[in-house]
This record gives sequence, C-alpha cells and structure tokens, in this order.
Amino acid sequence: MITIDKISKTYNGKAAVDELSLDIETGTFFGILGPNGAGKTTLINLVTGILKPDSGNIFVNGKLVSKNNLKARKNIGYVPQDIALYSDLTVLQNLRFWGSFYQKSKTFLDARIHNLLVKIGLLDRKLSKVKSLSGGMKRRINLAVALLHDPEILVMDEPTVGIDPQSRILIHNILSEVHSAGCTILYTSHYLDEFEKLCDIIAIMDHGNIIASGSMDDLRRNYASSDMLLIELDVPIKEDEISGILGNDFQYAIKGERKLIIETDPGNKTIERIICKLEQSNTSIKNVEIRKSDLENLFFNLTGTELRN
Amino acid sequence: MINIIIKDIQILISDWRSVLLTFLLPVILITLFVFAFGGAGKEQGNPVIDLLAYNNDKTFEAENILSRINDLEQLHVIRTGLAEGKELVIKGEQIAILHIKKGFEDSLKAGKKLPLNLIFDQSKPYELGIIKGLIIPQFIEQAIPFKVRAKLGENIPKYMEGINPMIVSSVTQSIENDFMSNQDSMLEGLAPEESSIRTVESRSWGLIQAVAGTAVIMLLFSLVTRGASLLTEKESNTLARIMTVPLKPYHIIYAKFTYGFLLGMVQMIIMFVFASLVFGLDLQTNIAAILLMMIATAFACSSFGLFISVFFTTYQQAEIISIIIILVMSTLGGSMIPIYIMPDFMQQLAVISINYWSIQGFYDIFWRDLGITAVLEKALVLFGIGIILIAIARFFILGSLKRLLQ
Repeated sequence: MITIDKISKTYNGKAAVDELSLDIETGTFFGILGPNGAGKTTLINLVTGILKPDSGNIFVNGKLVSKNNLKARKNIGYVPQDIALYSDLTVLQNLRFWGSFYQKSKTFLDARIHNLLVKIGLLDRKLSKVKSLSGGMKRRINLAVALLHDPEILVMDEPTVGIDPQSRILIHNILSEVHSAGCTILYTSHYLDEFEKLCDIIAIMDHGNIIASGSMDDLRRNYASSDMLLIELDVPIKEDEISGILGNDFQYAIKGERKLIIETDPGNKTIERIICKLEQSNTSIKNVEIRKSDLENLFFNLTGTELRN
Repeated sequence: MINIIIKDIQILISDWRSVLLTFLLPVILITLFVFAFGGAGKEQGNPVIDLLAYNNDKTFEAENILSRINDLEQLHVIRTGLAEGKELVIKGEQIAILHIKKGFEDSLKAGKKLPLNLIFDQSKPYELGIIKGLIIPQFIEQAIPFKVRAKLGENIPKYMEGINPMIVSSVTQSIENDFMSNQDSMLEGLAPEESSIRTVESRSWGLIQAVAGTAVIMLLFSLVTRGASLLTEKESNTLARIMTVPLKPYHIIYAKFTYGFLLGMVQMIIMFVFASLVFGLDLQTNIAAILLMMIATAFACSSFGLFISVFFTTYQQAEIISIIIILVMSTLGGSMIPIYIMPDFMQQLAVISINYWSIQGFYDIFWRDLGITAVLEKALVLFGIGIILIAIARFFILGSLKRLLQ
C-alpha cells in the first residue's frame, strides 16, 4: 500500500506538487491522468524516492520512504518516462546490470531474465546492443528492467509513449498479468484508452494536486453526466454577455476567454438552438465540437485544458 | 551573405561554452605562457638562480671568485658542505654545486688547469646553461692575467733579458687584451669539470619529461571524461533510474571514482610499458616507487574527474570548464613547460596542480634514481588532493543529484 500524506514539492518558487494526499490500496492499478506540467512526474519521483518532498510523508507498505529509502526501494520497480538503458550494452548486459542491485541469487536472476525476455518477445535479441533496437523494443526492455526483482509496487511514468501498437499491446498484456498477480501499479499516461482498459482507480491531477479520483464509473457518474458542446469564438466574451445570449436554458462555462463549454443532451436540435442564439447575437463562431462523455471530455470538463496540450 | 555571417555570430554568442573556448581560453593560456617564460612586465629582470658552492681551497683567490660570482645579478651563491650539496642536487632541490678543490689558487697563479668541478642535475638544462654561461667568464677574467704573466714569466728571462719593466708591462697588457678577445683559446683548463648526478648515460631527460608530463595530462583528460559520466548518465536518463535502486548516492560516486582510478592505472601502465619497450624507459630499478606514483596519480586524477562532475549540470559544461582547468594546471604543473624555467612565483603556484607533484615524483624515480621513501611525500600530497576532492564531491553529491534530476 502507498500512503501519501500532504506532500509538497516546489521548484523555483512554483509548486509542482501541492499538499497532495492519496491512498493507493495494495493490488490496485492506479492511473494518474493530467496535462503536461500537472506534477505527475514529480509525484512519481517522490514516490520512488528520487526526490525528497519539501513537506509531507510517503509510506510504502508502512515504511516511511524518506527514512527507509533503501528498504522501500527494494519493493519498487520503476519505469521512467524516457528509455533509461545503456545503449552500448546488449539487452542481456542491461538486464543483468539493473538486476544486480537487489541481492537476488544468480539462479533467480538468470531465470527471471529468461522469463521476461520471453514475455517481451526479445529472447532472440538478447545479445543485440540496445541502440540497434526499435523504440518499441526499447520500451519493452524498459519495462522488463522494472520487473526484474519481482517488485510489490510498480511505478510507471508514461511507459508507452511513442511506441508501435504491437509493443503497446504486449506491454498492456504484461501489465494485466502483473496486476493479476497482486502487484500495486502506479501509472501515468497520455493515452486515455489505457486508463479505461487497465486502471482500477483513476486520479485526475492538475496544478500539483488531485482534483478528482475514483473508478471510471465513479468519475463518469460524478463529473460527466452529459455530452459537451465546445464552441470556440472569434472574439473574447464575458460571463454576463453569454448569460444574456443563452439565458438559463443551459449549463455552461467559459474557459480561456474564447472557449464556451456547454452541457447538452444528445441530439442535434439542442446544438442547433445554441448556435442559432449565438448567431442571432452576432457572436462570431470559429469552431464547434461535440464531445462525448468519455475520459477526455471529463478531463477537459475538470481542467479546462486539452490533455495533450 | 551578410545574413549568414550575422546568424553565425549570433549562434556563437548564444553558446557561452564556444565563447569561452574561442576567446577566454587563448587569453588564459597566453597569460600563463608569458608568465611561465618570464616575459611579463618590461622592467622585470631575469630570475635569480641559486648556485651551491663548496670551497675546499679556502684561499684568497678561491673566496674572490665566489665573491665575484655572488655579485652577479642572476646568481646567488649558497655555501654548503660537499655531501650535503650533492644530496640537495640529487633530490632535485638545487640545480648544481660548484666544488672548488684544494690547490685552486696555486693552479690559478701557475696558469694551470683549475681544480673545479660543477656537479649538476641534468634534468634542468636551461638553468644549468645559464649558470655555466655566467660563471665561466668569471673564471676566465680571473685566470687570464695569471696565465699571461705565467707565460711571460717563462719567456722574458729567456728572450728579453734586461728589457725595461715598463715595456714588459705594456706588452703583458696587450697580450692579456688579445687573450680576452679570444676567450675560446683560453677556455681550456679554466672551465670547471662537469659531473652530472646521473651516472647511466642512456637515461634521457627528454624522455622522462615527455612520458611523465604526457601521462598526467592524458590521465586528467581521460578521467575527467569518465568522472563526468555522472552527467552522461543524466543525459541518457539512467541516473534517475539508478536513484531508484537500493543504493546510497555516495555509492554512485565511489563507484565512478573506482572505475576512473582503475582505468587510470591501466592507462598509466600502458603508457609506461610502451615508453619502456620503445624508448627504453627503465621500469625495473624502482618498480615499487613507480607503482606508488602511478597509484597516487590515478587516485588524484580520478577524484578530480569526480569533483568536476559534481558542479555542473551538463556534460558539455563540465567538458569546457575542465579543458580550461586541465590546460591551466598542466601549464603550471610542468606538463607543457619544464617548471624550472618559470619564474619563482609561477613555481610556487605550481604546487596547486596535480601535474606538479606527479611529474616531480616521476623525476625523482627515473632521473634521480630515488626510491619509494623519497617519493612518498609527493605521493602523499597526491593522495591528499584526491581525498579532499572526493570529500568535496561527497558533500555536494546530494545537491548535485537533486539539480540533475530537476
């Protein structure tokens, strides 16, 4: 179990993580969704002990990370955002090197390396230098390194960025298997389908804190009850102006001066009515987009920003 | 076309590393070389060189010649015992000892070969050349009147008996002047005998300077690169991952240091064995002392590499600054210019460099034939430098890692 208690981390006066608290139950596949700069990587680095919090505590299986750093690390497997391998070494050399830190027997390590190579489909490439492999293959090894010591907790920072579909599916399958075996997984990604497919709990993070969390169903129920109409205007508009145009018929919000988010029921007639009202008031429309009630829509609704900004 | 020129200037200016290398480094090196060759300041005189002297004759003329030498602007005579003086020359602490043997005054007056011996350290040829160039004319000036008079004294009674003494004096002066204007013919018997402290002629001062000087400078360049691999680890993202394995941050720097040290040892062994096989450098006589100096040098150089890596956030920064520091240290420390041709203040500054202690240690071994006890002090200084640099690196490593991972 991971318990995060009011941790904060500041860089140059700006809070990357701001009094964040979180409990992740043992065996949970916990996804953290957030825009760039939300503080996800900082949070991951704090949990793994790479960074120390300015304030607050993190407990991994009841052990305070800052005091029992080495013991806590033995239970954690970490997959960084970038490929963290020695490109001039072979796959096997890399795996042996990274596996050598956990006081596992040579027999255990050799068997584990063999099994993982089979799982990631790179047994026949074990003697290839990492630099000769494709991005997807490197991502697979990146994951295998984190699993070498059979960790109780797997912390992954966008492990599937920029990879081919085949590698992505393979990684998903391995993660599902690891999860089924009882491993607690803390996961960040930009791919929303991964959250829906893999995660038990999803937390939405913005400005260094968790602004919503729960299962996908919980989030849908609590934060995204209907589809949304996103209207981008040519000129900035104020709250009272839009209130005068739309009246009280619709739930809406203004994001970034020119973006109008309006909750709608499915059906073209509602959309037609809204657009008609805006045109009648000579409000110039640049773009209109209908957003379905999915995670991306929910994310936008909560943060007012696109996930991939 | 001018757009391209302006663009290239803008690119150069935007990269402070290029600006440093292009403009600052040459200025630093020129400054160092000017000081090293004693060329700073129009009014600056030549450096004063110490010359040991042992006077075994203890006569008026022997004291007179030492007084004349001491009056020269560039030489300072230090009286010493013969054994003590030889020891100082052997240790490399002094350049030469002038031994005035018994019978100097008698030989001088008789116009015979002067019983003089100049015992010197051949590893300092520039200073030795200056000493010889200054003292030999003094001997000539002092000896010629006696030599001429001696010659005339032999011949006048034979050929010019009864001649007016005024005429004899005039002729004598004229002959003296002729001798003085043609010193080469008079040198024989006036210049001191020369004895190098080295007895094995096959040893080359140039070889020792080249091997020791190059070895240290190459080791510094190589090990700074290896030490700074902490920064390449950051750039290849492996540093963040290493920080998540059960390993204390100090272990990372100790591992980097040990790797650098071992690599440095292998490099030095290869360089010295090559110099031995190809150029005949003697590795057998003082093998224990050689190994001690190799270990001490690799230790200091590896810790320097580590030290550099702790204070920079990118490999490029570390590379540029270390190039400047290494070139400055190597110039000061005698890798590029023999240290004894530098002015006093430069020689005093030299002790801050790793190069100085290493090169001096290897000189003690290869040139002066000194054993392990003689180089122990230099080795200890190198170990001390290394320990201080490691301690500083250890102190700053956490902050450094924190910076690297931001």
